[in-house]
Amino acid sequence: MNEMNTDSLVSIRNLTKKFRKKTALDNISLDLPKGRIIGLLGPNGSGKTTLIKLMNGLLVPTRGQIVIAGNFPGVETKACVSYLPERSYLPDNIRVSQLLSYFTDFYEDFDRQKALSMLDSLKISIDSPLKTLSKGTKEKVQLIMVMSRRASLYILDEPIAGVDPAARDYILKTIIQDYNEEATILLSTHLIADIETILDDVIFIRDGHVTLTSSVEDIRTNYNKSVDAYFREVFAC
Amino acid sequence: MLKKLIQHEWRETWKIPALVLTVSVILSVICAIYFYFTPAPTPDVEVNVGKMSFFILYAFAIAITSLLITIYLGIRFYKNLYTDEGYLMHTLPVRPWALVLSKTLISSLWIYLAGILALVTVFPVTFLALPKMAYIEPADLDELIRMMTSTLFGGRQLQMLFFFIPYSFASAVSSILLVYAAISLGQLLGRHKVLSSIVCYLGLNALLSTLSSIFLVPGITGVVITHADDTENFYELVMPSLMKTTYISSFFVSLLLTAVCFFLCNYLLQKCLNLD
Amino acid sequence: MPWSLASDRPIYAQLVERIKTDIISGVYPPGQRLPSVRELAAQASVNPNTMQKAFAELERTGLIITMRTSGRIVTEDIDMLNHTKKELAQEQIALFLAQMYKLGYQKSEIIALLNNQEGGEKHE
Repeated sequence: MNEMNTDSLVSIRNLTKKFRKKTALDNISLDLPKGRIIGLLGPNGSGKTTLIKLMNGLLVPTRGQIVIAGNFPGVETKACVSYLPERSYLPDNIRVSQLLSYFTDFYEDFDRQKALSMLDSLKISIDSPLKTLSKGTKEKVQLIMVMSRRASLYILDEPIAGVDPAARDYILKTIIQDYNEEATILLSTHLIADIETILDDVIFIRDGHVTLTSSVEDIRTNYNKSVDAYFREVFAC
Repeated sequence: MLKKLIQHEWRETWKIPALVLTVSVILSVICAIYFYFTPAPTPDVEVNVGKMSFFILYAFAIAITSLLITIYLGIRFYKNLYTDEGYLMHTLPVRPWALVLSKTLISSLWIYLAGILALVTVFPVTFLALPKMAYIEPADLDELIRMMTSTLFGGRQLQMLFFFIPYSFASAVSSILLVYAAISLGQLLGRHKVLSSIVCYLGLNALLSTLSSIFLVPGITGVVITHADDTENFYELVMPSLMKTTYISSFFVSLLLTAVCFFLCNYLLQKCLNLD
Repeated sequence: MPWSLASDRPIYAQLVERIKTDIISGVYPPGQRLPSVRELAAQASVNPNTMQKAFAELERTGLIITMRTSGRIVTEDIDMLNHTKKELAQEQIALFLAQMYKLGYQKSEIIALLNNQEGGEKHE
């Protein structure tokens, strides 16, 4: 990444996370600049989700530190980080309208009108109980909530895993159209081909180590191949 | 933010406890009507087994309402903070203590309500039921009722109520926080998190009973020594005095427990959160 | 529909080509206002920064012009459009010739083949 260290939004230093005997992240240091769409790429089990959960304060680091916009993960970072987990966190017993009021009540940067119009364009009624929605619709609702915030960092964990091509196009379009220009998007995936054209930069992660950080165009220019093809080569078994 | 957390917590949890309490009130009304209209046994009947069993079942049902509500709220705490729903709750820009406090306030309100409701329903039903389950001489009945009220409130109802209200609220708060602390501790212990939570709860409970008995002993010994010769006034003096001592010491045990559990929950959520 | 992009070349260069082609073929006629970077990025399903870079390149060559009030418009300079058209044609011809040489044809044979092609009455 050319912009490394200038305008750094996130700075990660010597971050290690161990689960009992297993080391999920091993002494990682990274800087994420402002205003970029960054792909966090790696095979399953490489430590992507662990890194993301650490950034969101859902795990505590074994060693090292994360600083987001000048703060350790906590109330201040949660107010400016919009996070889409890889799983559905929606409680079954509430309606879309209640979820809206959660976001309206707790996130000052939440644009309720925008969320409403996006829900409307997908013909999702805000009176629907969440348990009546299909898995794909639930994922879209969650994405709409997350993208309707004017956050400075969006962290999207596997946003396109397991969705059909039409939904994937909708999701990518939403991401491109709706994040604000100052913001950075960190997006993890193992489906690189589907997503690489929207990325500025990529971070390759493997067995808890960062093996490469580069811009997409640099990979294409230097190796004459797509990030996807390059990734397959680097991670070939 | 705390106010909003409390509002959301209320909106998402009121249905089940309200249902449980409504059912218990309906049961009480049915029992009251039944025992009011059912004829009293003749003097030759010692105990009417049928009515007795019915009453015991009713008392059991009322006794478990608080338990049911506590279990429900415990599960809610676990699901909301330590399973997938935790991904939403822990990424809200609120501090962990606010999460614990909002849940504790709503939950203890329900448990407190269940306790009060049990008290105000069980007593009238009991008074109605007593003479119908077995033949009791009217004079004996008066004596029995006097015995029961003095046991609980002493002769001085108002004064006892004064102790009872804060005591029962403190005990509602501490009982739910004990559950919360056990669940939070259980998260530290490996894969079987639900099981470890239950083990933690049993462990904490054992520890608590031991501590509170130790706490109670001096007070009760004091009462016994003071009233050693008062066999005449057992229900008028000794029992109220014992109850008062029990209330006061339990009250302090509850306060202590509340503080310890609250800080424990807060600490675990802040420093040891490892969401699956 | 996301634009189909070749995987072995920088994306921004392909965006430049695609927009040039759209301008020459009249999808965006001279003087027409272009969609915003973000709109077009979403439509193509590419990174807005990359689209911005492509726009900047097109602006540098003068094919599109940034107006203070109405966003970006396609140039009305017909000479420049014709020039670009010719450039694109030359690129296609170069690609075509490279393929034909690979197959072992000489230039004269290729011209003969082109002339015999159905509807090939038109001469260079």
